[in-house]
Amino acid sequence: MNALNITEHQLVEQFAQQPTWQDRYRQLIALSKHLPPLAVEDKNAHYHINGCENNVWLKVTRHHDGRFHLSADSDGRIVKGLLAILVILVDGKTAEQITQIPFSDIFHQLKIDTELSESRLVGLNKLIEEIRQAVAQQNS
Amino acid sequence: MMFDAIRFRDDFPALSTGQVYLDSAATALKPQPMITATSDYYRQDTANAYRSLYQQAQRTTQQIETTRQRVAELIHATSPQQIIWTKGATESVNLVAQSYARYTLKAGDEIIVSELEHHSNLIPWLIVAEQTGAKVIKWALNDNHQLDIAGLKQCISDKTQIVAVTQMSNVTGYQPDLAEIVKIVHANKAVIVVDGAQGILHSPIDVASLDIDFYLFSAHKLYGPTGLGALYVKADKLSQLAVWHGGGKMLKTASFSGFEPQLAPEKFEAGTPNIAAIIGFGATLNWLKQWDRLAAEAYTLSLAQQAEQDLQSISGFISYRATTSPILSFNIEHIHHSDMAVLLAEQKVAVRTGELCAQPLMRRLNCSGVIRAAFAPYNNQQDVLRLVNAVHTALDILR
Repeated sequence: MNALNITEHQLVEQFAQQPTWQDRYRQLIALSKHLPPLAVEDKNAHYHINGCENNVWLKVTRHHDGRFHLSADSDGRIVKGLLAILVILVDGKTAEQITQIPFSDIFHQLKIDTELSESRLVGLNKLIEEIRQAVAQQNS
Repeated sequence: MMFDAIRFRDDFPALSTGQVYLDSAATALKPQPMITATSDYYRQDTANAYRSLYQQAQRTTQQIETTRQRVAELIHATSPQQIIWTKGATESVNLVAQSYARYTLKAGDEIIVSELEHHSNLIPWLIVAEQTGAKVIKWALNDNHQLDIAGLKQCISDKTQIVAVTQMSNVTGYQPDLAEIVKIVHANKAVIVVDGAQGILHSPIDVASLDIDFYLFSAHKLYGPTGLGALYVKADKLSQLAVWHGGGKMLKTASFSGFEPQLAPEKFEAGTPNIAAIIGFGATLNWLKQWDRLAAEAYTLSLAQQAEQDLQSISGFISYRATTSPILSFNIEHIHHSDMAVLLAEQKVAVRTGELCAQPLMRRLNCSGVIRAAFAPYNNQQDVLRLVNAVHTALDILR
């Protein structure tokens, strides 16, 4: 189980129940509140992602059993909500499982891909790419 | 003359999309006559300028010079020969830095730049300081976020060669007292460079009576096309400017051993100019003449004021708006500006957020970014209402 104790299935269900864009954003903000904050000492340049409108920190660590731990934080709530989704999807999985996550299908099911503007979708894809790279690096 | 806001608004086809456009400080919307003139040039009148003798070519040259004349009239330059076409305000500042400052500055000289400036009126000075050994000195804002004359007097000295200041801040909308500033700058035998990028839309300027040495702006911020700017140079400085870009039509004679440059302004306009933009801007300026700009500005101010007043009731609301500013930059405590921007965008309210290309000013205002609602005369009460409602809806989601 991931750090938020929410399964992918629960996540999709939660979003499917939201009738309007306002409700889907509310859901995202609610998720952001469940994301465990990154330790202050980890909010450093090493984990900082450049080129985002918000400050974003991503920390990917590999456990001895081959599973990965993803922790993340942001100063913006919407981005933090998106990070929470990524943690739900990625945290506690192996490198092979992570490469198989159908991110864009899931975002489509959550109906947030229609909500997010092009530039934020690009930002989200950049974060996914960062995670994939970090996983690949530590797994090699 | 009364300002007919409804008729004014009708001239902007972009407003028919139903979006609330409050990003006029980034770029102003375009009136129909500009769009028509630009499209006519491409559809039926395409020709290069200053070169050929057929009718369209002659007409194109004529239109470029008419527009130059209109710019001169707009800012009260004594002669159209003092108006140089550039790509925009940014290129204009770089031209002054590289064609004037680079040849006049010596090591140890100083360039005073105000803390209000957009990066486009800071970075070119840092570059030329690096090249010449001169130093960039900050003219700091006072406690009211204003540029006071005492502050200028503190940093100006006989080392000061250039003072660079904005006509209007793109963040707070504050307008420094240019008349007083110019007096002090000239008394110290320095030159003044005024960035009109924001001011040009809101405050008619008289460069001659203010005795400004360099004044510049971008056409797109004054209902004109993108990719075009103007640089005004005072007559006595014009002859001191060194050549800038080399290329076609900036010269009288050329051979393998050298060239003799044209006189200004052609000397600084190498290559084919942005003809379509100049023609479009000519149409903009012609259209603009029918409006009472002071009345339009008073109307715009009333909208910004109304928005500020209505948002004031939100707990944690912080306004950075100067007293007579058409620009309302704000924050709400504990709300990240980009979260607000995302949710305003959802509601089809177009604002700008972030550092607004003014990182030093953001540090001074003690924030990482702001939300900016920039009003123009085509906005209306309905836009104010939709902004205020959209902010409340966003807060309802975020809090």
